[in-house]
Amino acid sequence: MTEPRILEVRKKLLGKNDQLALDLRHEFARNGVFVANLVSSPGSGKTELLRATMAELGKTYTPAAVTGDLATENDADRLAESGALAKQILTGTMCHLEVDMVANAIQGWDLADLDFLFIENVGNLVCPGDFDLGEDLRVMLIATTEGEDKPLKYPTLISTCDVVVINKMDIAEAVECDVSLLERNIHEVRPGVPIFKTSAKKGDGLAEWTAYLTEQYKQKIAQPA
Amino acid sequence: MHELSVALRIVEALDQELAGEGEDFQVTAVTIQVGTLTALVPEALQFSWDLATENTLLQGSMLDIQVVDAAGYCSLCQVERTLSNIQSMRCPICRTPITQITGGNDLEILTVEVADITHA
Repeated sequence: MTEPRILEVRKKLLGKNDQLALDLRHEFARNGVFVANLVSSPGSGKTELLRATMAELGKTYTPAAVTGDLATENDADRLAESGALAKQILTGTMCHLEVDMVANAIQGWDLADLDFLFIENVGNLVCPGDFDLGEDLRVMLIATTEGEDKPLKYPTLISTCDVVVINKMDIAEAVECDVSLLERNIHEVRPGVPIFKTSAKKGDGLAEWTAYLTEQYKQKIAQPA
Repeated sequence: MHELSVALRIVEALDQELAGEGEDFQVTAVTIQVGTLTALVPEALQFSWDLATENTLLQGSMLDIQVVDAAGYCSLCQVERTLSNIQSMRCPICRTPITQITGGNDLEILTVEVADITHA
């Protein structure tokens, strides 16, 4: 063999560099669909927040959802209650969603009919971070029941998120959650990230949250695809 | 953290990258940079490399991993800073919160070392 030679590659793989995710992102843009990827630990209220969000947005727009779980179709059933299109992705033992799973789940859907697509990721604060799903917005949900230092424990995922929603505000006092400390910790690991406070069950904060999503949608639609 | 899945993606990317190089070469080493914000564990990537490269043109190659700290732009200092503590995304000099991440949040394949096979 001859002397080895070095080839420059300089190729980034993660973040928004996944080709399939880029393709899906273009398809969403072409069809005017605003896509949000919801991440959180299990039990923070993703499904309940999405159910309430879709019911509210559904008054004016056409929302749809795909939801990932290891087993059961229960979340898709819950989301479909509002009359919206909802599809379950059964991941088996996969602890996060990847873009090909989303692409497969929405096959057969006419994206031109949809305004919003919500992707409810598998409950997991570690793995979803590196996997681009073609979304416009990555939303982290943290419940008041989780403790104020949650953001400090999972800095890598939160650093990829565009907005944080603090849920279960209605029981914050009961669980002695210091919400302003939680907000400070969120901003310590993700300075400047917008924070919304909700109680999905009670409907508190839903108006502001859906207004934000609507504004994001309008901004996207206004741009050329 | 799915380092095997990521290792397979490195293999896939290099398969494409090396497609135009012909057949008479062997890959001896791959050098990558892994940012601390990716949550990827270098040891796990190493461990996955042999399995991921089995029966591919990268089989037998070494994986050289450079870990890079997060980096961000400080709007007050007007300069890029290294952020070695990802739990506190503040400029290490002036303590201003950093909203613009400029590095350390990706995996980059830097170089590939190939040895041409000469036939006698």
